[in-house]
Amino acid sequence: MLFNSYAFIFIFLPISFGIYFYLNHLRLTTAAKGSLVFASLFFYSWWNVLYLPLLLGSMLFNFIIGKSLSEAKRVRPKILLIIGIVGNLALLGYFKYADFFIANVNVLLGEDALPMLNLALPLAISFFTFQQIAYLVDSYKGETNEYDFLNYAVFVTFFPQLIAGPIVHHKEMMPQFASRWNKVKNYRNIALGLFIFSMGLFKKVVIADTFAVWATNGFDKAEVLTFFEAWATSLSYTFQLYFDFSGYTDMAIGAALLFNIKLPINFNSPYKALNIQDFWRRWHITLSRFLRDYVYIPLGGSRTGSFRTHANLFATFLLGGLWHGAGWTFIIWGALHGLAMVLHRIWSKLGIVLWKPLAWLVTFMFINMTWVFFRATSFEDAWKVLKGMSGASGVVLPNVLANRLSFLKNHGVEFGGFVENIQGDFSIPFWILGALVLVLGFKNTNEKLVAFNFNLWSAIFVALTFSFGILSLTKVSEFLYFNF
Amino acid sequence: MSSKKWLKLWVLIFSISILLVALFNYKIDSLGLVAKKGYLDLAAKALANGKIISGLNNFDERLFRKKIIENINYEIEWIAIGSSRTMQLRKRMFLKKDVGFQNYSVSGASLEDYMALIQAHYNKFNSYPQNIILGIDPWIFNRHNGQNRFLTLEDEYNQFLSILGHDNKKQHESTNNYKKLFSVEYFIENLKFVKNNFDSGLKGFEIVTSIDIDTQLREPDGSIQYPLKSRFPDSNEVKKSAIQYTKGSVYSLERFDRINNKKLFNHFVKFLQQNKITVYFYLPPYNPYTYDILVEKKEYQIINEVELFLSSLANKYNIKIIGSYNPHKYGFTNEDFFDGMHSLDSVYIILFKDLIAI
Repeated sequence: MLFNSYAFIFIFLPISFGIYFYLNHLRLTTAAKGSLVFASLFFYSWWNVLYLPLLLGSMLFNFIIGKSLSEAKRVRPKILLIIGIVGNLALLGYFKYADFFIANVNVLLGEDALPMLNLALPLAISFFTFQQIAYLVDSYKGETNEYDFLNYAVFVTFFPQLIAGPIVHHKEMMPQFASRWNKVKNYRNIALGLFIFSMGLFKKVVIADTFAVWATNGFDKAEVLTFFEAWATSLSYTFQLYFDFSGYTDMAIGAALLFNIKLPINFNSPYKALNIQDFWRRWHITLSRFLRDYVYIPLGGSRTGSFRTHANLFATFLLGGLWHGAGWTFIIWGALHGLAMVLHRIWSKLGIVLWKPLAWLVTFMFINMTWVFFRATSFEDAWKVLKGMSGASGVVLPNVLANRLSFLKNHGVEFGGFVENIQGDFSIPFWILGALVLVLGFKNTNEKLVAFNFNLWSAIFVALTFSFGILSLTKVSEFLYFNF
Repeated sequence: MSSKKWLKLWVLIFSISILLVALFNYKIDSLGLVAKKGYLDLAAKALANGKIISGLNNFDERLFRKKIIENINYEIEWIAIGSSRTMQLRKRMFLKKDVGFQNYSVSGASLEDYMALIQAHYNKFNSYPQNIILGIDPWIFNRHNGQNRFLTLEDEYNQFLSILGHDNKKQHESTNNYKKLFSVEYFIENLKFVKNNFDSGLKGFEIVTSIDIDTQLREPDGSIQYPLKSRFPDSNEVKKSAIQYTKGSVYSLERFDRINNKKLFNHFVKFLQQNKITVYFYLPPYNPYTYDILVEKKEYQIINEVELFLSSLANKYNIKIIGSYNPHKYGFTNEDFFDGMHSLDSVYIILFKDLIAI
């Protein structure tokens, strides 16, 4: 079930909300929690019920290990932790990376050396695996005290964050589910939840889905991209991904807030970043937090000298790239970001400070160009876009400029449909400009949430934004982060 | 303001705004999706009664075709079904005056459209036409053709499939037209319609008496007349657009891997013949510039492969093939086209001359 579907908004969400609070109202709190787990499993099964046993099995496995880690010391905890982590990584590795591994072996040994498994990636496996690895590590450190499977099931499956994050910690969720105050309908939270959900819906269905058309045409359909087409393609994807993921996160936070649950912030205006480190503190914050706490620091973090620090940083980003997808383009993307982080660290140590607009431009352009690898399904496609962006595939200006700028013809510039290969039109520059203004010139939804005013204007604004989102639902589209 | 009061206000504004949009969409209904007696019904009725129609823009062609079929009150012996590449086939090009003919072509027609429209015909007349010209585009056999506009006629398609004895394994999303009432896209479409047709009292179409006017027309036999720029094109511009056409993604031919729908198509043709229908395959030629570039490219082998497949099928079932994707076979030049894939009337006249002899 998609957040941006009639079924979710008008049927699933109101029913699960109503049942949860009604049962709590009757003081049947365990049943209420059970209803939330059932609703979440139903939500998950709506996509493909075949993966439900996998989710349940993974939950049971981690719950048993986690419980043993927290309460008993009969078995050496370190061995238990290793078993738990290896179990999780084996599951993720099998479904997500087995075919990638086989394909690479076949490249080395010959086309049919190993048969492909052709496994379909179970939905949300990357998210629920990471979340549970974090739980095991926290249990090992003695930071959890969870003995109840139902509570654990709520923590893992809570539907607003199950499919695409944010990646939450046990310790930040369980006290909220346990709180007596959170079991009562809270009109303020409902209103704020609706506000943030509406913003997310609008970002997704109105903005991201508009950019999606040009990005898809540019990356997947066009054979050649001229200069403006290539830039329109890469920028379209840059904004599609931003508004898609940020929209999803807003909707998740909003839906959770209806249940009085505050999910952690996952987005903090990342395109306002002035350097790559700043970007990663703002983009997919909960993933960065996970990678920092469970990969970078265990590797030694910055405690073991400058070379090791840089190597750890690079390795963490390489893994981050691989987590996003089993493909060399993702690895390249991760490596480029890792390299940029290392360079930024060296740069900062040298005390070089760039003029802020220049720093923003360098950062944004780097992110925009590296998203090309993130989005392209092959190196050929990535090369096609980057080549176009460099101008090596020609420059075509709009026909309307042909008379005024005819002298450019002598320099190889052509006139015609300047975004024809991506089936675009003159609205593209305005959309890109508009998106830039939105991401740079306005406070983000989290900031707006803090300063929210309950007045007539906010009611009109939120209701119209929500209406516009609902009225744009006729073309239902999936979220990008569902693939990771 | 308390949050509870704010929520009540929110619900009120949300409900009013949604209702207003739905009411506006219902009232205007420029695509004729929900209204029972909308302008599309009137246009269909006029066409079925022998009038020439102008001013129809951006509407659901499948729905319109169905409405035309439902309004026809004379016997139809010949029908043609294809895409926009078959739309200019007119009765006067190859048939006598007293023979009933309708061109049922719809943009981007796929195999599902053929079946659905033949079923719509059957539902109206309780019989099949005696002759069917199938304008066949290569994309019909490309499983990645992205064509799903037939869903407007999904009921008819499913009906035909079950008559053929095929289960419809594809599960399609409901095509409930009432959803469109709650659509901002449809709202914008309706706003445009109001803007463009305000002066004519929101009629949506005009009845004209001659085809010699510079606009897109529908003739009573279902064929289309393009504006004069396309009827009398500048050949240099055509050449440019024909070459340009091969540079981007080629309409519905992308990601072709193998001929799809072979079995179903075979079964379909056999069914038509079993019902005493004479079937003709019409292979609309491409502009020579477009054709020469496309057939050189590996990814567009579909063009050659489909022609070979249709030839062998035609041999097997003794079906006459009219035309060829290859324009050189008939000596067509750039001057016979108005873009990379659409020919002028001259091409139809030459190709369908052969049919008269039958």
